[in-house]
Amino acid sequence: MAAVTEPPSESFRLGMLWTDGRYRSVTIQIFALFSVFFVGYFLVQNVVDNLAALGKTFGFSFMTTPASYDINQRPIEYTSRDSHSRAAIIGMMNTLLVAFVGCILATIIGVLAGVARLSKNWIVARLMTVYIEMVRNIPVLIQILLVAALINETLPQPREFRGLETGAFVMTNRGLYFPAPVMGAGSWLVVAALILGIIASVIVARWAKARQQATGETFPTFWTQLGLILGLPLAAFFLAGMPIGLEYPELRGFNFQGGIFARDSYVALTLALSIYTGAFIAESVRAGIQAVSKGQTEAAAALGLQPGQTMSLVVLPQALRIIIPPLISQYLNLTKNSSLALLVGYMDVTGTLGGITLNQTGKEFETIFLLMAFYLSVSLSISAIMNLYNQNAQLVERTSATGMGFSVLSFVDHLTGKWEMLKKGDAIMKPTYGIRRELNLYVLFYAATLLLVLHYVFVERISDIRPSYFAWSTLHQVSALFLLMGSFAALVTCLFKNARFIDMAVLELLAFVVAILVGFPLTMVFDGFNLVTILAAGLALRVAIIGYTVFGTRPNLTFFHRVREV
Amino acid sequence: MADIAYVQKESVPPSPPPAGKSGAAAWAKENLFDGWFNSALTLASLALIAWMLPGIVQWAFVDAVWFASSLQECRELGEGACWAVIVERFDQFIYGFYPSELRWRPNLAFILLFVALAPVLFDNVPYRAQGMIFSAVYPVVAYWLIWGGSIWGPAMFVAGFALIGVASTLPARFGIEGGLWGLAAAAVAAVLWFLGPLMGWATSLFDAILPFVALEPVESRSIGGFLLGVIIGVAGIAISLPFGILLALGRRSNLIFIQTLSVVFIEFIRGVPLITLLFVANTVLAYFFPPDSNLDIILRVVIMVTLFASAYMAEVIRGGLASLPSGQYEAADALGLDYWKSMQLIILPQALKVSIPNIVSSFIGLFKDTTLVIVIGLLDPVGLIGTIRADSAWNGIVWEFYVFVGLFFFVACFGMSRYAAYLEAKLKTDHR
Repeated sequence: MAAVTEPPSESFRLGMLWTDGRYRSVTIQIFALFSVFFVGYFLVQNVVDNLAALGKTFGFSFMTTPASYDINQRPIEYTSRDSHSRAAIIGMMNTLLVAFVGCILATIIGVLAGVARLSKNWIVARLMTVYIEMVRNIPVLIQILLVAALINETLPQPREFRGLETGAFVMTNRGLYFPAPVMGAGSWLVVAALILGIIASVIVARWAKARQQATGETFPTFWTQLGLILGLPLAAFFLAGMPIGLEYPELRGFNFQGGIFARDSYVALTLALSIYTGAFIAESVRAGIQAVSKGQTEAAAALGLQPGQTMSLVVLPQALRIIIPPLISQYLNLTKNSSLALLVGYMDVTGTLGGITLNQTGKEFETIFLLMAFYLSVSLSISAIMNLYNQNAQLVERTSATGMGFSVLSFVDHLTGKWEMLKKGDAIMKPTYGIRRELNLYVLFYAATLLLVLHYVFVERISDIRPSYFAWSTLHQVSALFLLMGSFAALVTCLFKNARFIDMAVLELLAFVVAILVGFPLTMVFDGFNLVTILAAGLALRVAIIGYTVFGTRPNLTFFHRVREV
Repeated sequence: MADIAYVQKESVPPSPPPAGKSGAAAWAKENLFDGWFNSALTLASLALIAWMLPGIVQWAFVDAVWFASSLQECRELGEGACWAVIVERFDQFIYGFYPSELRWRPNLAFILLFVALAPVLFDNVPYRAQGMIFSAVYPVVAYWLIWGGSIWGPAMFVAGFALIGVASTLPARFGIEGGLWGLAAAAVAAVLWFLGPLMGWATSLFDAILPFVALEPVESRSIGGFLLGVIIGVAGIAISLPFGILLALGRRSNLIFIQTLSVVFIEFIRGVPLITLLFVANTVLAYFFPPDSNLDIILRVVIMVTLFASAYMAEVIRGGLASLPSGQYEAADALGLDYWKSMQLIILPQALKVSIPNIVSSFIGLFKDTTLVIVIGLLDPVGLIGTIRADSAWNGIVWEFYVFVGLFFFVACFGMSRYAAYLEAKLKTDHR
């Protein structure tokens, strides 16, 4: 008899943990998990030892103590007797102000410079090349300091305007003054007319588009809209007897009073950041326009479109698809670079929370943690908002012409982005397969939960209703954080259409239960409901969500299933 | 009769172009005065140049003063820029407060940097294998040259890696097969040498025997100027490259835990400004280490900058990995290569080649960002501006500093970005 080959031995050997592909990935991950755990333990233990040696404690109660420092630029009421947390909020507002205005300015500069660099005009193109290359290759810090020095050294002092006729705009070395609108009686008419004009122009645009689709006749939409948006308020303005006046800045004493004042540090920071970021945006605009092939322009011309129409209907929509992703990252960079405010004396969040508060209280961990959390949430929000637009501008392939009507679900789809299309075989790895659309409701649910808890924990006016978060017992603090983190994690996994959503939902359920057990004051979050209702509704909703995910349209496509698969 | 047919024997000489279609005037008409809008733009640009350029030239060159000992003397000699301050403090801008008699050491380290880079960048360098060893050792050499002190600490640090290499081959030499055992032996050696007391013992032993092999130590606080920027930038990029590769691979990995870890790390670092990380370096980082370890401020900055650069490097390399067609991955699988072999032999060489221009760009970004160390009180070129202005002789100078420092960065960064563009053109091969 011919020898039969031995069947491969099936017994498990220790070496197979490494040599067998089936086990190796698990081995590596467990090893990585343990390494991370040990490194984390080592670091935390060191921190505990070091803090104990210095006699320091960890806690956020310092945020409620008086800040006792002044902030010269404050969008909301603030005195040095207010708390550190209010100083931090002022700083955050200042940061957001710079970031918002800077992004708008940078976009304008960038688009103009990018288009001008492609101009047929030789001199203009060369000048723009010089601007872009200069600005991109010099550190932004030097540019900020340079602009600040330009304002402080070359602009006249306020007292030099004495006896001179100053116009509506005054540029001094302390900052810029703009005229401020003064709303008199009856100015609501103008505002109402403006809103009416905007609504009317939207309706006109829809009607014109529908008519063009039906009959092919075009309508001068732009001019009509302009007339509606500008004309209606102007008419209302004169009809109501010119109720809105302008308050001009006036020199009183050593300084100007009245009008809107933009401080020198703010102007320098915003201007320098916009010029710097504008150069980078210009480069992406140029790349985007160049990426649209020449055939597109020629095809548009062959269809008989005018140059303006070619740009707005054919070239720009395609170029935007390429321009927007780098644009998002430039906005993020501008926001992050605004932290350089510290060096020109503008009190942004790095200056208040990460600067004076840190130095006064000596709470390095807490302040830097809050600082990073703030920047992180701003960055994530900007990229989330911009992704929406990006998704709308993305190439749409073969959609059906019908069924484009408005519905809540498609609206939510727009808000949260489309679920990725799955391929055959993905179902095992992606537990959300088949229930993609409904999960958008969960996004709303978790967003609402998160907002309610956030509002209660941090934002709601602290009065007799409840003590400040930082004065709670540790158990309450931790449970609130746990609850927040749980819903945030669930929200994020839903938002980014992550397959591991179910784990987060379970975590969130646990967080809810823990919060109940330690006595987190839920009745205050959900004002006007009694505890039993909240408990029942909260638990039922969460269990329903998890249950539906596990046993819904496609059962057994969950995390648990994946574990069994391994 | 026979002469009626006409045949052209010579080519007709080309006629001159019609008047107004060539030459400078035609070019100007075509490119500068093509329509009223373009003409207006041209005139506006010319007016801008005419308004700015003469003033700048007058200030920077014609009326400039190059040699003087104080601002007052400058102002007496001329109305324009007072470059004398740059001439007098040039060394300070380069080295900070590094002792002047020891400046050959950073110079030597800078020259050696190129010697170390050559075998990495070019594959036709003579003695490339030996050069690679020098490249590997270079960071320690540069550290010793710049900071000085006894050679034995750095030497034992290098020796530790040699020891690990030897240890990893030991099991095989004694007939114990399997890759895991070599890895385990290397890990044991690493723990004993670096975390255990062995390295410290060896260092003090050699210090006792041969104490004279040492350079005069230099304080971290006295290192400044562009030297500081170069140290932080080069160290940050060099160390972040391997971390960036690992993070990029981790982000594309199928192992869920590893992938999550990489994504969280990358997005966290990219979401916060570098300044906050420098704050961490300045205040918090020391708490994460054992109480008796006394970390140098520049080392702490380099640690945080490396973390920062790793996240960006990971994204750059991820772009390179994503640009490879999936056929490359499938081909590697089809050849039966395991994960690391396929990465090492097929994927990474191509992906890194594609990413080189972007790596240079991120180095430029990092080099520019090194100016931010001013927020924690280190004396980079921008920080030195304040120091020099505090000197009563130069109090009141504003523009010259910004122009000089800006110009220096411009020359360095623009040069590197041109080099990146050149590399991009040279490395461009289509994957089709």
